[in-house]
Amino acid sequence: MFTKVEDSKMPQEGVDPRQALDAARLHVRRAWAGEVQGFEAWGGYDIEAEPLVIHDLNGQVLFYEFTVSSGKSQVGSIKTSASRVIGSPVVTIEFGPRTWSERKAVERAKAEARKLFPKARLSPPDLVCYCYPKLGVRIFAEDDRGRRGVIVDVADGSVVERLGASGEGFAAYSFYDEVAEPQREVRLRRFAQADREMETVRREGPELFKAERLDNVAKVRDFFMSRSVGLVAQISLYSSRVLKYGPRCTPHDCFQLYAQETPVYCAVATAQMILDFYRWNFTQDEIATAMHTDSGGTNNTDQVAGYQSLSNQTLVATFDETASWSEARAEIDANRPVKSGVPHHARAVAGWKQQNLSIVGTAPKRWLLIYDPWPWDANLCAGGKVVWEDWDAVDHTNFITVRHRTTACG
Amino acid sequence: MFLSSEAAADLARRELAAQSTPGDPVTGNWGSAECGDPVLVHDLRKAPSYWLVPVISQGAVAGAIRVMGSGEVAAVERFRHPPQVVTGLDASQARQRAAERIASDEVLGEPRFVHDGPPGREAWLVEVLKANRPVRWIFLNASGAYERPAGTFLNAEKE
Repeated sequence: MFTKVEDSKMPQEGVDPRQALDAARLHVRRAWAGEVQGFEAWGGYDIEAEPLVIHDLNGQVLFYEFTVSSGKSQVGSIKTSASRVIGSPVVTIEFGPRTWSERKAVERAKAEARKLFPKARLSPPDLVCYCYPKLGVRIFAEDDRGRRGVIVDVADGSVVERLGASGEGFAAYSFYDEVAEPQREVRLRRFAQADREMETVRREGPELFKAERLDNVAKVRDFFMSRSVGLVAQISLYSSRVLKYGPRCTPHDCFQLYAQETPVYCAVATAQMILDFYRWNFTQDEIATAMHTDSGGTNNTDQVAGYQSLSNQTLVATFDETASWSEARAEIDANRPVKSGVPHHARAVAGWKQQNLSIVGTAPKRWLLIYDPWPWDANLCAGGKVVWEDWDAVDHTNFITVRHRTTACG
Repeated sequence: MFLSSEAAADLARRELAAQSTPGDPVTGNWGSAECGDPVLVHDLRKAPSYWLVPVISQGAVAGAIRVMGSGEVAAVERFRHPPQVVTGLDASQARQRAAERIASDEVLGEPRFVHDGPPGREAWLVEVLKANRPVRWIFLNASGAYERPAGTFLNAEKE
């Protein structure tokens, strides 16, 4: 119904559909063997070898979507990358049948094209990703006025306007140009890692890529468990960094955990950890006074003002409501602790860790090293805990960065 | 579907094996650590929220692994001082300490292990009832107790 793969439309760093199918199979079988929630029955499903080919707005092949079926019923689909620039072999896995009809989508697009370009010659329909993850059917029309196209959304039949990634509303943009290419190097490196993993698994367990169903979950799980040692030997598992004292010759880790002395002193104890790091030593009661802490806790404006007043304005504290992983990592790399806010609670960040190896198609896991002043304890040296916290499992409400002042006080 | 206790323990064991590295600031001295029995942590609305799986190292509760109901392993924690039990107190101790804080016309509900605020901010919650109506919430852990009127959540503007 839609156009197939054409060599002229393959992107740079292209991925062959057979390689993509291998990635899809490996991903699903690994999730099934690992008893990942939702994949319990997937060991008995078939992955159809012929994918739907999804194009980018720039005309190149972007994704292959493999249908997963149980008997005659579609039970899911796996979207894989057609280029290494996308960064990950498997992009998404969807559960359940497709919510749109190929036939209807094509009919609507043809009708729209005929209406807009009544005398033009129409191209075969392309399936395009016009605004990730939205899909549309694109038809080109060619006549004496040149070549023009129309895109009709597959789900609701609306006509897509081309506005570019920065436009608001019903925008369309090229995934390659706007999303993948700006991070080309990082994404290629990530895909190369996945390639290495695939090569190892392909060499040691070619049966995992066969079309036949696998029926022995224990056997498959054993394969992955026993091989993981081999993988570890080839690639370092994690990258990480923690705060250091004197980060030059023989640095040592440098951050001290303090418990909050009362149930409402989380921001206060966090400030004590951070201020101590900068050699501004105060009791928690002194900090609470400076930060106007009351029986409900401390608000962020007062925390910011407190860091600055207690350090005699030599530290600049900045409240940031758009806490991001890269920001936390940049602060730690610059050897600066950060206050991390989660709903109703404050903690200090003193390090980060990132997985260098992950299940094919999944994003590497990322953790922050959290110095959590909870559980509270009247003896600040008795409570609290140090935590590796999964960045993606937590609702981050804010950061407060604390840095040495580099400008004169106003 | 909320993760079973057995599945949470299994995930925690795998996480412990994957994360244990000599010199790591959290797991560094957990070479021969094992996971204990998961404890279910509720939110203040009584819904199950996550499993707290104790990490037992050299006979003491050295830390815990937080496994969400969805199967996500959210955190690996090392305690400053190993408590007797991962919950700091056990349920009967929590009830006993709460009993010291009530008047003669008040009665106690059953202790529930909750997170008061975000996951990780755990305490025992014992509801105080007067004339069959909840009047106060007493939160307890090994270091002490604090209270709020029953049904009161933390101030959203403050930390």
